[in-house]
Amino acid sequence: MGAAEGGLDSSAKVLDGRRMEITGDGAFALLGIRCLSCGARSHPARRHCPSCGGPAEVTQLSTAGEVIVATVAHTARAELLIQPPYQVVLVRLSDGPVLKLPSLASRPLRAGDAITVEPLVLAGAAGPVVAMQACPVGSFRE
Amino acid sequence: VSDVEIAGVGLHPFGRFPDLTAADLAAVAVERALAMADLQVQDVDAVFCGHAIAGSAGGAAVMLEAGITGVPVVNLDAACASSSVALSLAASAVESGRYGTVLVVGYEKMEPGMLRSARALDPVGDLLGIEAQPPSYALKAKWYMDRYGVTSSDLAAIAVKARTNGARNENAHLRKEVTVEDVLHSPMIADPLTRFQCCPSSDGAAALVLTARRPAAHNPKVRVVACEIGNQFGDAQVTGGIEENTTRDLAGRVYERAGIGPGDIGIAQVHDAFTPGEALRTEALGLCPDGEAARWAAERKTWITGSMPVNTDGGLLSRGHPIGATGAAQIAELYLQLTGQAGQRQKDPAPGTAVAQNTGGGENAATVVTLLCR
Repeated sequence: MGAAEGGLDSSAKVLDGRRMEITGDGAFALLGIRCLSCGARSHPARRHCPSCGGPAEVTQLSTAGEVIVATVAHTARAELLIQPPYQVVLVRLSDGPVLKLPSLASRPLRAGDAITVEPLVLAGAAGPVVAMQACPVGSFRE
Repeated sequence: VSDVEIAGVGLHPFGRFPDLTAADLAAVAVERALAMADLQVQDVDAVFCGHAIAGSAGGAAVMLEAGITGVPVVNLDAACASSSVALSLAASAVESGRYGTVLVVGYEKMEPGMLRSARALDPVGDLLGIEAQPPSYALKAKWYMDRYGVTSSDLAAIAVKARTNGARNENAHLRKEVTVEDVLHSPMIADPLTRFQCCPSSDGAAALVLTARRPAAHNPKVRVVACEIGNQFGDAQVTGGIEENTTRDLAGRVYERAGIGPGDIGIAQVHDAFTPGEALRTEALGLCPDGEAARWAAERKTWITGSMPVNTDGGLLSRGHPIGATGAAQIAELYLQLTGQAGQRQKDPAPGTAVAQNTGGGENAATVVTLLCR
């Protein structure tokens, strides 16, 4: 169904098209914007820059980043696509944007840990959906 | 907003009331507020209603239950800050001369379980649980503890204070006192926050009467000096919204407008949906040095008998959190404190200046900072 070898199914549904896309070759792309006025990069994709309100262009962001702070959620609403315990981390991408991500990594993430933003395929109500998570560098798909 | 007075306040007790409707709750709060103001329903020129969950645009129907008809009813949703936004707009309406007497009403019937994320149009945040309130506040707690060397016991002291104050508040949802050990040994919700460091989901209602006229002689005058609204998007901030920059900015604006500084504040209400909320926001208001608010709770400086009382009615952690009603309930408590009517939780002597801070939707629905003076 259009999946490149080792990649994602390009027809798979992404959970939020402002945040990510699957390219034609099945690669995961983290989306954001670059402000045409102030140059700031941010996530997710928006029409305008959240810092200055200037016009923006959609851009692919680096998936490399660093943990600012992390926690473990032990409770959650039943209808969520992931269930506790799972980690929630605030990360700063090497491009600058800050975003909050889940992580299903088996080892606890801590401030300063290097991570990459990776696709996370989950069972949605109408079939598989692609979300994203923070993975510690060196232990992805552990 | 210097010529706007609060003439009366009223609450329906906060808690779980499965047999009552939102209209039942709001009607009681309105009746009590009007009685305190010595006014009748016919004196009301307009109503500003804050509610976020208890039915879309329900304010007019709810006000019918209170006997208020034939006047404009404005519905406002800013998540947990809904009735503070209502207060800000109502105060402006009175100050402008458009209305003479206005009701601010907040009410809610909460759904059981954890709140959904208030971030609109964000399926990642909502369906992955990362924008839910417990992990969001847990990130604040971890960041705060790491940055300032604050202990779990210090943070737990905020919950102990809340329950102690709530035990003295007949309108509070949770009225059983707890110890630091009770707090730390309650079930873990989101590390490091245990259940007793999380506010309950409560039903409830609160009402305020605003007037440009002097209230009845038996009610000393309380003025709404400033009531400012701001919004924040965490992903545009250096630390992703963990720091309370919106509150800090708004506090600076209201103090400047009043020509005072944080050292002039005698009592405060801050949005303590979870313990780190009180710590970070008390500091953002300038009421204590950064990194010290949890330790101040442990040292009882923010207790009723302390130098800077915070959340004397138990706050969200004990009074409860019917989200549309919370902002108005904060103002009601400050009104009672400023006028010496807070009973067994009265700060002695009654303070002359108070500040309230209320946050909705992790600051992106609204943050409101309000300054009151006697």
